Amino acid sequence: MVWLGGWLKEIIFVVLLAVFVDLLLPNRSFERYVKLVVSLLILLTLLSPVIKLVHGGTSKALETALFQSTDSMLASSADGGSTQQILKQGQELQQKREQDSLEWVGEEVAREMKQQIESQNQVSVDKVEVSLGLRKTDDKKLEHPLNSSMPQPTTDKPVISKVVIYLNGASLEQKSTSLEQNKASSNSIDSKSDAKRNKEEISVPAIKRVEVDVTSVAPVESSKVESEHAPTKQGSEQQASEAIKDHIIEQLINQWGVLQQQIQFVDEAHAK
Amino acid sequence: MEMIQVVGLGLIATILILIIKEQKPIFAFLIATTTGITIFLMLIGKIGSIIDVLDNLAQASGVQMIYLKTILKIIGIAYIAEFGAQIVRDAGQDSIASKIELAGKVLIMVLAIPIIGIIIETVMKLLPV
Repeated sequence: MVWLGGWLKEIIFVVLLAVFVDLLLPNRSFERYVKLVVSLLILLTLLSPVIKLVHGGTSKALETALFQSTDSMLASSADGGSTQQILKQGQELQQKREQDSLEWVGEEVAREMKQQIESQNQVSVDKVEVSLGLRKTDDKKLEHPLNSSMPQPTTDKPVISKVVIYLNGASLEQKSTSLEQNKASSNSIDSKSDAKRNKEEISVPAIKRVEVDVTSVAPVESSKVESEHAPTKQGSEQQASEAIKDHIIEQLINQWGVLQQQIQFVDEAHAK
Repeated sequence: MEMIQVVGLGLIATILILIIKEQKPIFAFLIATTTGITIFLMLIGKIGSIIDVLDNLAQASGVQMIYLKTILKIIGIAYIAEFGAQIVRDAGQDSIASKIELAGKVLIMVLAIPIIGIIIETVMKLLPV
């Protein structure tokens, strides 16, 4: 049933495009030719289940055929076009490999950080996410890994661009209660909060970098509001957890060279 | 607002051309060409936004992007060929204009070749040998 829906969607979209093209055409002299090509496309779309049945990979074949034809038209020699294609493919492969290795290194660093934080603070951490970006050696601008284009891999070096620490709410609360023993907590802990916006994210405002991610700035207000609305019983616990967080931030800055605004906490204890 | 700008530009250019045509026909041609290019450049941003919308639509509906690419290429070829042919025709060279149109038609047909190939291949495979 799913493929039927997809097929119908495709047909509707192509017919819509065909009508659009018909409207957009500049004059009548091209009309017959354009109509031929567009009707062929519609025919191809209608036939696509049959084509898939007979031999798979229609769009791939079409793409290669189209690009070969246009490339051979554009390039003065057919050789140059194919070489360019191969070079492009090679670059794409290299970028993919770099991305993979960056992700792997990020996981490793995250594991080590998690162990360190747990052993030094007696706080159990759910998960630590580290995202790495590449930084060019000439300019000191930090790049987000998703947006980094990575033009020259030889001059780039990986840096940590963001650290997100998912604190385990139960343990944090235990820790805070052990710090302040007279204040016993009776909060129901919902460590698996589903709503994302309910998560209390505490982030530190930027110091060096001017452009801060909106996601890391916006939640501050919500946390403020929440802390205002929170009963006084939670206030001291929050202070204790803040102290722990400050401690963690300090450790990370000292030992990993992470900037303060790159660290982000996701605390699931007070999410309600 | 843009519409008024475009029409105003066209009217001014037309009047200038009418005035200048008797003395210097070549300048009249230059004015016509420049006006055409200017109007086209004014419209490029709008065309870009339309293409963006189509692109998003295609991505959201999960349609193969190659269809959209092909159709956009067709529109582009048609417009550019039309543009060039009109300018050349304004200059009085009808034969060259028709050659430009021919080139546009051929290039559009070239886009159809892979599609025809796939369809024919499928039909041949479906037929019992």
